[in-house]
Amino acid sequence: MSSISFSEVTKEFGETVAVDDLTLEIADGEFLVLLGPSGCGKSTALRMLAGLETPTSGTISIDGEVVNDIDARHRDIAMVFQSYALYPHMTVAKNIESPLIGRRSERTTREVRTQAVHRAADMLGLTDLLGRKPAQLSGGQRQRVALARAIVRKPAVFLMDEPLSNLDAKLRTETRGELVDLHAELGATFVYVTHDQVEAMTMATRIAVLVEGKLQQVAAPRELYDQPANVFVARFIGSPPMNIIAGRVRRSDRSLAVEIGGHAFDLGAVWGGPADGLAVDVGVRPEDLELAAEGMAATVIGCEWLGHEQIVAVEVAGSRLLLRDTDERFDTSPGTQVHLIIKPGHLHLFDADSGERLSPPQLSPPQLSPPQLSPLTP
Amino acid sequence: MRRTPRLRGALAGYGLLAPALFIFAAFAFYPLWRIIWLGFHEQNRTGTRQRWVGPSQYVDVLTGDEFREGLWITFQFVLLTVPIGVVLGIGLAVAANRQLRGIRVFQVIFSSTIASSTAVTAVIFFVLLEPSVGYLSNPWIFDLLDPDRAIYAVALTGVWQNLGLTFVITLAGLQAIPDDLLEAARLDGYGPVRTFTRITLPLITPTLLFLSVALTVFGLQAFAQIDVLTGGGPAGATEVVVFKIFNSQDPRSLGEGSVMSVGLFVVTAAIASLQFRLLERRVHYGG
Repeated sequence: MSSISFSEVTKEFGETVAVDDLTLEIADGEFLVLLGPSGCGKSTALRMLAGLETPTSGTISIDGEVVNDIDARHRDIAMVFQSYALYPHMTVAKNIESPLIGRRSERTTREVRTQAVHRAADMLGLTDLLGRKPAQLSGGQRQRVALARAIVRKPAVFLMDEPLSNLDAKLRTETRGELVDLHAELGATFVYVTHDQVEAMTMATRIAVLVEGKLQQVAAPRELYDQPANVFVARFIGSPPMNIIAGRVRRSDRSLAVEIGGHAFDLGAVWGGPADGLAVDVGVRPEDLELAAEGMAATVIGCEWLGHEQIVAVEVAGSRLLLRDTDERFDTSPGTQVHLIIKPGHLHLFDADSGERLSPPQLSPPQLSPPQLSPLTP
Repeated sequence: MRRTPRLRGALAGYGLLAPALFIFAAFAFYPLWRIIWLGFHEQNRTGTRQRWVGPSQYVDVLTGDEFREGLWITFQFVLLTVPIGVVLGIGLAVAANRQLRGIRVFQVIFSSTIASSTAVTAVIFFVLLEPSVGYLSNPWIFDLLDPDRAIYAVALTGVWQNLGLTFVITLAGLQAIPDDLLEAARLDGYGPVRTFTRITLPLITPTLLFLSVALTVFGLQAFAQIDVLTGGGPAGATEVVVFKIFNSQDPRSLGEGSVMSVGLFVVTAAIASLQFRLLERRVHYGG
């Protein structure tokens, strides 16, 4: 049983601020993914939690106990390293057994240890490999040994630092599912670092997005996808990324609309936020753009066919947009004139200056009326 | 016609090898052959004429007391210098292998004995060990005048001399250990001592193997510190094999000296290969 709490944690390396004022609560049993581009501070945050780095300021607590001054070896933590960090001179069995030997308070008999090693090896399908050295294993097998070493004890928290990044695509997909199962089986708190949004979306109960050391948003995968807190999160989650187009708010007593490239899109709801004429960044996910018989005029500039769908790049009023086309009803060869509509209720508005989301998060999607496309009347 | 480029390639290859081959031939192969040859001969007083005496000279010298005594003293020197030298080197390297401000200064100081010549080292230690005024001279351990203890004083110099090399090589071995292995050990709950014995030490065994072989060979060939400190004395108590070889420069004893040289060569090669074979079983080569 272990909750984790980062409270105003900052870590500086000389001039560089790796983690900037991070406050984050992680509940017991959660699978929290720290997601962000490389160099965003996510690994540093994880290493501080492990006790391998000391925060410059702020406190880190595990189960309400501040652990800043507790050395890594006295924290009840297991970690899977990106490199796996297997001891090359030990057999698989000795590697897995290692955490059982380190802690004096938990010292047990050889039989108990052997049983624990076999249980962990069994869970990860390593029983036949126990006598081998790491150099005799494939990448996927090494990864499993690293996992087995982590689960052989019953630590309060599991930390994983990009554990799948050295695996090939197929193995990565398989292992993702296994990690989710493992999490369910152990019921422990997982903190997982990755730059891969697919890993984050498929495994996390909640995702914390970090950019340049700053926490952008913490939310469940669906909320992160549906209601990104700012332009960065909006573009970072989703593949291909969300289209961002410059627009302007048009509001009247009765309606709120956004004007893009000479077209007004009704937002279908009136709320107190944006003032008339405010410059905004309008976000539309590729799957929320549709080719139609009429609508906003666009020119096809490229097309990637993926089998079950195609990603079409179009140009609208000087902006390049991507859309996901699943039914291929229209000709999408480059140079073709097409028309676009935006699926109702799927516009995201962000302040053009700050990049922050404008629509209030509790706002339910606007009414599901057909898109209101009307030539803009000045 | 097809062969021409290959032939040209081969010629170029031999051409590039020629300088190294020449140097080896002139300074290693020929002297070795010459010394083996001299071992089968006696010389006249001026060394102008040689007479074949056959293998009997080898048998006589190698089974004789002189060689056996020299070898025994040499082994004492090796046993006194190598284990202590390696342990001290590891100690210094572990102490200096940390991220501290100014640690470089210590790293330079610890490795400085590499840059001091054996003769200079020996002279410094001669002053330190000088029986009447030397700071280190005392009747219990380091006493250049006591036949039973003079070897300790000589070995002390040898240990000090090799320390820099041992330190530098061990430090390099320590720095080659990936940080995340040591971090993994910390998360596994290992303290510093356990991390050292279970992780660090096994991972630097290839380095230690190399060092123990190299230091053993240095020990078997030690000469300068003996020459300066004791001149082989007192009463021949520090006459290692090399010193005895050095003393057979007189043309009439050159044959015997040559035999001892060949004998030492064989002993050295045998010990080195034995060390490789024994230690290799326990050595981990990471991969």
